[in-house]
Amino acid sequence: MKKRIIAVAIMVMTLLGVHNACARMYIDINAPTITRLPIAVTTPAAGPGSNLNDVQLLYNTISSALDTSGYFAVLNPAMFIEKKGGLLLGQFNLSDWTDIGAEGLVKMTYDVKGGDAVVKVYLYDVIQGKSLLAKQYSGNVKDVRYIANSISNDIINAFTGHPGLAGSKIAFVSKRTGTEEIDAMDIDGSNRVQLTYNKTINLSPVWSPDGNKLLFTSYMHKNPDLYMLNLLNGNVTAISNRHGLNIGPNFSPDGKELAVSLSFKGSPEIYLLDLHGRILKQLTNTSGINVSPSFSPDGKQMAFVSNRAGGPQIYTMNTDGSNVQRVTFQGDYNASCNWSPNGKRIVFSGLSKDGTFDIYTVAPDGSGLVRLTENQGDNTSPKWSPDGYYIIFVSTRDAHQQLYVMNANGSNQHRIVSTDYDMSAPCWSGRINYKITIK
Amino acid sequence: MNKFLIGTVSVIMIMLMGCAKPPLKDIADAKAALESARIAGAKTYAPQEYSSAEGHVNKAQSDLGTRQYNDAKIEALTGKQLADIARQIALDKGKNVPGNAGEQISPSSSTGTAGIEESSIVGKGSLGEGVLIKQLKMILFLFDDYSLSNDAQQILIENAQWLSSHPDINIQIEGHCDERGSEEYNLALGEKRAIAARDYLRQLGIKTDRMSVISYGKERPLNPEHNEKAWAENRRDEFVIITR
Repeated sequence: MKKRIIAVAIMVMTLLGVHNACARMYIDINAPTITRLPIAVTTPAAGPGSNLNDVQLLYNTISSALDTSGYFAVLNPAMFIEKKGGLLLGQFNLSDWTDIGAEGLVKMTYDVKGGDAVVKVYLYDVIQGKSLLAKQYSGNVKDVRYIANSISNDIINAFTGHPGLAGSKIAFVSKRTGTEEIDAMDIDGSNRVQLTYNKTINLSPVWSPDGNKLLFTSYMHKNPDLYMLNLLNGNVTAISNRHGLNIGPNFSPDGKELAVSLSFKGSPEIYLLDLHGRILKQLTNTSGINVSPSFSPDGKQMAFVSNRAGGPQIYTMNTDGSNVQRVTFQGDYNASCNWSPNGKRIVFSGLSKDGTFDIYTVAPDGSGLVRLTENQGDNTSPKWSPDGYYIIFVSTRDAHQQLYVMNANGSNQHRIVSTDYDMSAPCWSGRINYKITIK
Repeated sequence: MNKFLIGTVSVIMIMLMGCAKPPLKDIADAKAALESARIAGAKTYAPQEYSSAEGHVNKAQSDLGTRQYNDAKIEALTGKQLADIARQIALDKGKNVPGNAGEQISPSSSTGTAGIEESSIVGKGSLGEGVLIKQLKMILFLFDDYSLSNDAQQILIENAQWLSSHPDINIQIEGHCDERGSEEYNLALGEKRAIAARDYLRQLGIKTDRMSVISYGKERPLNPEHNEKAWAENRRDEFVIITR
């Protein structure tokens, strides 16, 4: 079975007569704590021929994306008092919205023309009576969810200055079929697809920077070997099947090289490889354990896990293997490191004094250690979102292993989707709003 | 056939009163029974019974994977009974065929059928690549540790003695970890554990070309529960016969 990425075509057009001025930052997402901005999202006014399920899907997808962003408090429509109001400023009463505590307001229309859904979106600051966005989105009616993702990302951008991540993909290890296969899904838990079918053990999926490829380790040929799945054509190629371990891969930021642990010489050491699997350089040489390399965003350094001082701890080194520095000193077990896209923090999972695994972040020089989870089961395998504002991780807080997202400061922790099977090893793609289809 | 039906009914009756925990022993017993049946030639002499038993054992394993422990137990017990029946049929039918001991996995050709008893299989290796036998006991490790304890060394000495007396057997050493901590670090740790056992067996005179190592990290726990006891059981090396 082949996996293929399909680009979803969504036309976006600025609506005439409305000036999009975004001078003010409403929500500072770099602040240590974020106060959620109260926003009212109205159900789209549906034109003739609309499928009401699509209209509902549009509404649900947008409100859910705004809520899970952690930046908005989406007001319950039962609170709405507006009896009748138009779409444009002057056609409705601002006080109908400010009276219920709203600061932001989304008004929408939904029409079907040919096979296309056409959605007009008007976004307001109702405190100042200002228009923030007026756009028309159109695309195939089958792609309403993708239209909704585009709208959500634009709304988030209008209030924060940074586009949202609705429609970005998560690759993860799933025990849905009883063995460990790699699946992918959207960050809201929708559009799940199975990517491997070999019924053995598949581990550690990581996206290429362009989102077109996935590296992973698989036992499909009875040894933990490294493979690459090309999502443009569905082909799987072996990158490294050297004797012993071929595990824990990561792409360099330019996508041209990869770092991985290989043990063919006897001990797991970190190597730099080209995309054909040829060794460019051996970076560690300790005869102990060296795993989980993660590049700094400038590509000049990497964080990794080593037991050279006893138990596993986080270290950094230059990408030529020089200048090794120990980063973590608290606790006996710190692993699964991932360097943030803005370069300022490293996230990892450590064994806390109370005996649980928790998520921590630390500056690459070892200063400013912050604990983000506490008293909520075991929390492991953290990875940054592509914009660096969120962390995805595995937690056993509600049941077995499930996937959670939190803001980078530890707030807004929520489960992505509830399943009766284990999910682990999540990795967040930077590419947004596309389909992965099986043919 | 009647015997089998009564057996199944009684098993289910017992199970309805039981409570749910992973029926690891029952599944291991069922696998052992299935293997004994196979060795006795059940594939040839009782193909229907054998294949039915195999189906129940496989179902037990998959129910275990999905945590349907009651179902897994019923399947395992049913599978064992069917396997025992298949074995008996095969032994009865095959008894008079000269030199026939079925599809043997007997460790040494010189020991003949006696070897079957000796090997007394207890279950398959993690991915079904080989056969795990009682004479090659597993060894256990401490958390985040791959040094060999005194107990582990004693077991390895016994394993080495058995391997010395069965020179035609090659083994795969599987290193495993508990579920705590990172996937990747545990894969590395599992390999270190397997290599520690291999190196010790080599010191005891076992040739390295008879031993391969593989790590399954934390991906193949023996005990699927989430507690100290399960973790202790899962930090292990298993010794699996891959060729003879």
